[in-house]
Amino acid sequence: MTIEIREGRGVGKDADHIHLHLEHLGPDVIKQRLPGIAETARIFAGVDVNKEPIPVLPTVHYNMGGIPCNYHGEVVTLKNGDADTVVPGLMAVGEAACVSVHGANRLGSNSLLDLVVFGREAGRHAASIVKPGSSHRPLPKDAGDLAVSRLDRFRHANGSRPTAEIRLEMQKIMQSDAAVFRTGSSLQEGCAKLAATVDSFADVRTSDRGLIWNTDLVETLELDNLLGQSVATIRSAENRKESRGAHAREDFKERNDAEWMKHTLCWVDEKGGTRIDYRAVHLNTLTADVEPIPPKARTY
Amino acid sequence: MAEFRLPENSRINKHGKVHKAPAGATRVRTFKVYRYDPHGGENPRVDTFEIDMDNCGPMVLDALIKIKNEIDPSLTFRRSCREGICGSCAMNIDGTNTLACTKSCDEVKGEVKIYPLPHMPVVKDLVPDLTQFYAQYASVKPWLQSRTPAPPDRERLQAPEEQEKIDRPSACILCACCSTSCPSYWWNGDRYLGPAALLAAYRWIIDSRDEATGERLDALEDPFKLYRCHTIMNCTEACPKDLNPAKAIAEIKKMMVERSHT
Repeated sequence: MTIEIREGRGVGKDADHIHLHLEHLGPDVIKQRLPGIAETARIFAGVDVNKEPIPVLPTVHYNMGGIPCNYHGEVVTLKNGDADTVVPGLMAVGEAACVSVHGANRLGSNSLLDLVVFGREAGRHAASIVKPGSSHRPLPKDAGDLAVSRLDRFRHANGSRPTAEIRLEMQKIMQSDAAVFRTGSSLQEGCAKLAATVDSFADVRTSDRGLIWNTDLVETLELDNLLGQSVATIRSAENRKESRGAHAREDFKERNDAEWMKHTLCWVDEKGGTRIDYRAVHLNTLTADVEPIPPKARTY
Repeated sequence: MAEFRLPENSRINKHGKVHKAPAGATRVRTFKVYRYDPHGGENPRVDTFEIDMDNCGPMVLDALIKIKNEIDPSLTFRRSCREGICGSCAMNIDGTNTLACTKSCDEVKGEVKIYPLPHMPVVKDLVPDLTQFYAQYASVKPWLQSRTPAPPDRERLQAPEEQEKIDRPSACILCACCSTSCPSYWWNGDRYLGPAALLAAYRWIIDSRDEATGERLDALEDPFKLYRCHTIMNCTEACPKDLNPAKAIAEIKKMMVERSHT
């Protein structure tokens, strides 16, 4: 879709979107199979999908990658050369996790796999590793200090840049420099701009000092997380000098299995600095009943 | 006739803070927004925000987000999906309960008045306390109850016509627009389950796979839980998903009568 628009075949006043036709499906199929799409098109575009095309544009619908996990939902990290080292007691599921069944692109409806298969397994596994009635190890006396000081720092933040302003800047950088199509120069520019935005977060300002339903505070805590996510995303994208799945580099159009069939691991420090390493892709099934399917490029 | 006034500390100060439109704005609309700060002991107030619609999205939620992002970050409201599927941004806009994300500002004439869902305890600004509402939903046991074991090799199947019966009632997003628009729920919300919970009950009563129909009806056989519905129909009028809770309640009442005569 982005190619169609970029090559000048978009529609509308600014030729910045394309048309999706559903009329040929007929009202019965639309009513039965696509009621949500029909409703959304009616409310937001004023379009009757039985008669007119829907104006559409590509957008983010899922984040590939995530917290590295094994198939039990246990978080793993790289330690002493072993990238499958379990972090005891820490688990992740869903879009936050990367069990890595989706590879570099998640296909439609495949999110269900994370939910139905790995969500269930994470629950089972958690139940199997915790002994009923066992008590927690005593917490260190200062266990909550870090979390509380983070909360207080943002709740009383009195800088010059409101949360929404920094967030919008981050969104614009990611939209323009880490979008569907990427080049080395746009990614490097994005990395530099984002680093400046991350630095400016030290100067954040919140307005709501309350402790009841403080969404200003929650959004600021979320922004802190989002900035870390954005740094990891754009730095890893800049580093990966090939195209694969949803990562489409215009300066490296080909997929390069010899060098890049591996996961990027990215550590983000307090100041937004990053360290990158890798983990191997598991290519074999867990059973002899099913032959492993060798990976190959998806072509259109 | 008896006259009632709100208690002293609940009366709304209609003259809250006023935020003027930026100079040079040509398409200005005025938003009157209910504010309540649980800290500090002040009465609720109505703030005025003038918004330049040339720099604002079309929906009421777009305006609220613009206010929060650019004018007053302390403005508090629930929102998530911004496409009418999560139910978070239910509020009272221009006198009716609806979702801010699917309500176009153009549908409102004059000032856009925005209040929390009516007759609920207010936590802060536009955020009502929905604890009771959720507890009522949970009380109808909104899950499949079946004594027959599931087939070992596949799902519990339904015929398309059986599925069609529950298709619309299942589309409820629990936004609470219906229940909080119901005068009967306003007065007896502690004992009357309200249209949202009853629609959920109905959805399971008519599910061809569910085998607890009798128990479900027994649980509703109560002067308050079900029969405080007086067919006022505000629920169906308010539903932003075009569902018909009033009809579902009427169907449950019919089933009650039918089973008492067989």
